Amino acid sequence: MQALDIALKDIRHSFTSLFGLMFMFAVPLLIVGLFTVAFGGTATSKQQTFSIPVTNVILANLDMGIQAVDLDPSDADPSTTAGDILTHLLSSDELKELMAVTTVTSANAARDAVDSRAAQVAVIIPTAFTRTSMEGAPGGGVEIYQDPTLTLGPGILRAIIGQFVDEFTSVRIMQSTMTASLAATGITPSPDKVAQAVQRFVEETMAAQATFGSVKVEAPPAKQQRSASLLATILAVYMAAMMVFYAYYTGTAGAESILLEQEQGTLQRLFTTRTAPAIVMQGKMLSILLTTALQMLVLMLVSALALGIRWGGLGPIMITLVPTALCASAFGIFLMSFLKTTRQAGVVSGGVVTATGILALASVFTMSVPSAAQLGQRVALFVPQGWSLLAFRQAMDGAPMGRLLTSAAVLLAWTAVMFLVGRARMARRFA
Amino acid sequence: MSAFDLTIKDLTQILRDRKSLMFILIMPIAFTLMFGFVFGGYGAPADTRLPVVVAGDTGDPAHAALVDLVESSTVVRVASPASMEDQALRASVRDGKVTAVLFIPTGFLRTCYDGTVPPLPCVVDVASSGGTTARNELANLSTRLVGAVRSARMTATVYRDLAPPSGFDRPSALTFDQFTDTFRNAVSAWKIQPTAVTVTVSSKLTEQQRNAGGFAHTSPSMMLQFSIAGLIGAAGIVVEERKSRTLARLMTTRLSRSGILLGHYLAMFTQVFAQLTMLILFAAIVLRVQYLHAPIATLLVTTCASAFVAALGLLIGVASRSEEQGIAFSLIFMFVLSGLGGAWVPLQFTGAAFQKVARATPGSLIIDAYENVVQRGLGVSSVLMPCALLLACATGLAALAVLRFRRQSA
Repeated sequence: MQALDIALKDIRHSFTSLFGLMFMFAVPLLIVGLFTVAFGGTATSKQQTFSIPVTNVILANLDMGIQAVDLDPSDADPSTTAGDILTHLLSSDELKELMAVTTVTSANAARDAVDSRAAQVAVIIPTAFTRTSMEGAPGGGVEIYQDPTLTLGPGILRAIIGQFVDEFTSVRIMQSTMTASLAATGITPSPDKVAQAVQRFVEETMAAQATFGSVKVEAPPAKQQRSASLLATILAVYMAAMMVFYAYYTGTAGAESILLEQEQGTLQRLFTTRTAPAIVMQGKMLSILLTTALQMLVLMLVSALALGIRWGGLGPIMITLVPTALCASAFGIFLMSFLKTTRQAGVVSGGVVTATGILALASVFTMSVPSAAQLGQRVALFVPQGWSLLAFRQAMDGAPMGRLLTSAAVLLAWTAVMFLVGRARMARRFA
Repeated sequence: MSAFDLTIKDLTQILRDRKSLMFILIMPIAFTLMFGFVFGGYGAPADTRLPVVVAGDTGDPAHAALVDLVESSTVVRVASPASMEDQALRASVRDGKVTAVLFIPTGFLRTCYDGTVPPLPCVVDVASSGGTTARNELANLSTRLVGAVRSARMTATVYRDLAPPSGFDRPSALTFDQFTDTFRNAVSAWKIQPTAVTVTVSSKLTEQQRNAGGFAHTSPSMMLQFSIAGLIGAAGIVVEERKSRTLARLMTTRLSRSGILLGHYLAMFTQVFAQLTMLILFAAIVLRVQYLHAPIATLLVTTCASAFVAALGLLIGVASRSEEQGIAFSLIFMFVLSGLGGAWVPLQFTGAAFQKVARATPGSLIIDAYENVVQRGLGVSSVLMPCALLLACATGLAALAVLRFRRQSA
């Protein structure tokens, strides 16, 4: 009963501080709101994809060509070279949301534009491009000259140009393999027959390109019920990350009240009553636990309503939230047990919460780089915040209960170790 | 007593507190190393391609052909999972052990020979960036595979049209073996095609100089982040001074209000400048990030960045009522300025409108100015504009701090 009284007093104090409320609720939502704007919409908005910025492309088409005929009759502009077709494709209305193309007449002018940051990427189509595309002659590869800090825009360009060249290559391969195979059976098709076959081949290929070629995408087992977009997933992970970061901060700030009360002398007065130090610790732990749990519940509710973030089922949420609140509370008590004054606590707790928080956020920072994402997730598991974040992500992804319980068990183990060490040190101090 | 005395007092206080040194120096180095490692900063990592599995009918000629195509990719690589069982493979995608699994349906090539090209099931989580990348690459490779199938089918069609009536030794249609041979030849032909696209980089630095890899972005990002986080201690001194009434006593000396603020500002500036300089030297010497390629430009950016961060620290110190508030404000600014600056997610991945706004923020100016030196290999002229903007921001923040301080002490 005494522990509950202590807890209620601390909770009242936490929730009547305007600054505390701002830090617990407004700041995490504000930061995630910032990222929502950064990525161009909420998880519930109709456009569930990134608003990819337009890449400024400078193009130099130096292709001399080998054909005297229009290679692309479907286009109003005459295209006597493969370079012309590629230029029309990159400047087309279909791609204008991805790139803004300006043309120049020399490769040097294109490179200069990138060097002076007037353009982000230069596309240089060489003189032998048509010959390479039509006949497979070497030396006619397209050059992409880019700003070294960029990957996304140049990557998209590379994919588009690669696909364009592949179309020519596949026609060439089809023509050569067909001729060779038929020759092996003693048949030599007429040029008209070959042209007909090529025409049909091109038609079939173009029809298949309406979708992702011949690939039929299926979601992995646990994610089938939740067809979340990449945007929704990223926002949800950011929200979970901010929530976990600030929950542990709240846990630490809450535990700091032990030092504050010690400095103000109220703790000593409390000990003159029949209240044992262990009861005080229980009361403190309870107040931090309830505060962080309430903080996370409110953040989850508001982010679900405002940003459309789906946190998972009630069961998985509780399995994640309760151990996280417990662990954040124990983390605070553990940290404070090593400190003696609130002044010390200021720098150290701020530093430790930030350092461990950033370590946990490694899994979030590396999300945009697929090759680094897996390692980032492993690094995050060195700190309890990393396990909390993992548990929330598992709950959101609908991971099997066994995996969720494993994460919860690890969090509880962290809680037990930190609380026991913290309590023992505090008991020694107040003995 | 002069403002410089106050600066020396603050710096002594900061230096005496070894914990804050850890926060100012050790942590940023540790995090630079960690994130640099995660982003592949220690030279070229063994293989950064995304692991995918080609499963299904392993006896089908299309399976071997697809494995060949995946092995030639620069985006994905063939992984060998412990189990090739359907459910285990799907679970391995869910668990992130492999990025995607592409299945060759049973009797795929035979079905193609009979006239239908069945779709290739691809288990992938498209809600992850890795999944989306792998899906796009596998779609491209499958297009090549199916292109080879179509080549064989077209050959079969032309054969049927041109072959003389079937006789004892000549079938009226291409046999499955002939169809398979044509398919294999078409797949093999992809290996001997000339390079279609080459990528070169606009930089005054040589490829060897740019080998800092992941560190070239991580280093400026962590410097920005921890220079702001480092304000926790410095701003705390200002708060403590007010709380312990040392400020009131200071006001009774001949030192003016501006002098007091100047003293604190110079201490913060010295702290941030020293912190950034040490981190730059570490990155340049140990990690080979090219800060010293243009030392004057680097010095200019460091000075202006320090001026800005110190002004921010002064405002935090003056505006905070308690040390707890000082920490909170420092963390908020750290998150907002680092986030907007592209320290976590490079700005190229964000929306167009956001990018325009973010590029004008001080965090982005600092990172971009450093990247002009260490990645683009540019010199002093490339950092003049960001430095001017940083100084303008610093002046604005310092002015706000002065106003707030005057109101407090009035």
